[in-house]
Amino acid sequence: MGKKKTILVVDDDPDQLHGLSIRLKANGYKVAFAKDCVQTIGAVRKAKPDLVLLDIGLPAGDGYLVLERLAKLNLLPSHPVIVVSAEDATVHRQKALAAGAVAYFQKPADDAELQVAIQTALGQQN
Amino acid sequence: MMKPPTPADEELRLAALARYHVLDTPPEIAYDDITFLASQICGTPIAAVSLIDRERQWFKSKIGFDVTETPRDWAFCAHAIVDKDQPLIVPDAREDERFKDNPLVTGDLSVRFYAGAPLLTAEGHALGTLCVIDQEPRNITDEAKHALQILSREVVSQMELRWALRELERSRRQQLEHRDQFLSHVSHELRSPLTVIFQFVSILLDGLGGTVSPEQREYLGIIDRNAKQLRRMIGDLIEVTRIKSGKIELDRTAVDLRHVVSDVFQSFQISAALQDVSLTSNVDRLLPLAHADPARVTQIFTNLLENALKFSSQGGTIAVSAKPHPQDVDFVQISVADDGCGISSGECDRIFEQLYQIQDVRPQARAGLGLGLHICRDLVSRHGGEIWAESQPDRGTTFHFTLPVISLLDWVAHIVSERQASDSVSLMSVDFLVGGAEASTVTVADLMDQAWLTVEGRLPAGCLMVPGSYRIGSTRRLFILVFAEAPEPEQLAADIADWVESVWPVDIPVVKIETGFHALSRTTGHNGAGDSRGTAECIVQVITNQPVGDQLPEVTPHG
Repeated sequence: MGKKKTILVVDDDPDQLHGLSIRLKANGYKVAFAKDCVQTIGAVRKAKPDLVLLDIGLPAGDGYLVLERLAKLNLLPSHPVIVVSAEDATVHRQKALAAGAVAYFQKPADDAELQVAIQTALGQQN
Repeated sequence: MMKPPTPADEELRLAALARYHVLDTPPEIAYDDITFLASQICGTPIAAVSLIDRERQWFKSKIGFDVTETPRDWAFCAHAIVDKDQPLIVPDAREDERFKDNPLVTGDLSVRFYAGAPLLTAEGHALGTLCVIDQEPRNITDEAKHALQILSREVVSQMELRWALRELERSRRQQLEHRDQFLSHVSHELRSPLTVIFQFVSILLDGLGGTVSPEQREYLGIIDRNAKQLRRMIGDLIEVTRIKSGKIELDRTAVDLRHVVSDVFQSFQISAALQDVSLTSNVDRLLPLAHADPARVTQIFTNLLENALKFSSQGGTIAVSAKPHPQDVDFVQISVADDGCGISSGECDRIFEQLYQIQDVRPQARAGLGLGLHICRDLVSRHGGEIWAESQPDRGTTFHFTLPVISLLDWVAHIVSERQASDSVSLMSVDFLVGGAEASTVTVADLMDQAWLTVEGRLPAGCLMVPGSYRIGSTRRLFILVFAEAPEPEQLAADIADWVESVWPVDIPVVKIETGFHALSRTTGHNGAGDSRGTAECIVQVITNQPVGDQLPEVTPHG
């Protein structure tokens, strides 16, 4: 088995961060965290995650700002982003994909589907 | 002629007038009644409600003349609003310096006598007058003058009433908007904690928190089931707010109901089995494609099946059927029937109302917010269809709804967009394309069934054609699609039409599609002028003498 992949989870709700990290660790990933836009950009540069799970509703600069910054820094190709948000999918799916996300999940996301999307995104990257 | 003086409160007065939104509105009986009474009481052949705008007087109501407005400088009423405390009385305009050369006096109307009572707002602004006019010099009694003042106050009351109504409506709409915003906000906020509940229940169930005993597993299952119920209700709430704010958009395409039914059945298999309810479907083999949003149709089916399951008893059956509408070929009719407890006929209409709950003592029947059927009705009617229920207590309930059959042009547009979306998608089941000047044999596979038609003949150069068939009810109809390149697609299409006519004995419409050509030509090795994929939507046009629809020829399939 190869090196463990790192997933950066961005969410301002500590319980959701906790839950996702348990699940992701159980599935064999290394997990990094960020709670806002600035932390996220820093964490992408430092932890060099293979994938980012991004919430839209963040304090001080939302998920779209994160996507915009990552795109500007040309970090999206090497760090694909899956948006996991409580925002209405009918409005935000298109917007998130247009902003460069590879997939959109509406909370509460189906865990099995999310894991498949994570695997797919990680697979595409190689 | 003397120009009427400008009232001291002119700007405030005009602002007040604008606030009532009465200028240039149609006549209303309430005002006309008052004008009639004024002319009766004062015994004059002419009466009017005149409003003084910045440059004109405009008549909200009038008796005895036909003009809708005059310049303000001509208006007797513009004089009448200056002294607001009493009516202006002009016994003989010819004798009055202010009016003797006024066009209303010298012209056809020949005003002699005038009496006008100012229309005073509560703030004391005079908006215009209620006036009576005669073509003879005369006067009116003090009683009539008083009556005119009373009636002028009635005119203002009418304006006040309308203003208040409008304000009420405005604030009602504002409140609805606030309510929707609130609902939408609350639903979103509820989702976050719910997410955490789902996460941790599944973490526990998967043993990530340690070994789970059978009892613990059962209890976690109960939490999970109820959290799912909560998720559905939040989903319904959000859907309803979206309906109320008109934010639902349909993404219509060609929908094969057989696929939808089998997909939805699949997702219901487990819950039906748990309740020992069997699901059966009977979809007419020749059912035309519906023109609908597949996600919405799935949502309607899901709601109706959930509902049917709720009211089914153990060992019951839920039967789904779809067939052409018995009276209207442009619609298909879909039915979902259960043999459960049924509802009273009086409830059949009311169940589609928002928040309606069935009068049923069984707890499972009351689970939910009572929004599902309301959402169904909205979705069906957005598609142009209808939904209704038939029921007999203890015999079961059947829900019927209708969806429009896809029209030829919509269907063609759908084919083209499919085609443009992906080169690998074959044109539905039409599996043969021909281009160029070669003599060709064209085989048309029936859209759903087996190949049934073989044709030989020559095609004009520089175009691409796709024969297709189309169903209305149980009748199959033929048409030809022409993918023709500008600048002269009409000529090419016309050539094709001639060719088609020479080959087929029946009159077949030829449908011209302009931008589909390049995408298609690539796949057939025909070199088009560059890649036009992703260019503007296709231009679909029927080159035929006949309108599309009922006029399409009927062709009997063989084989």
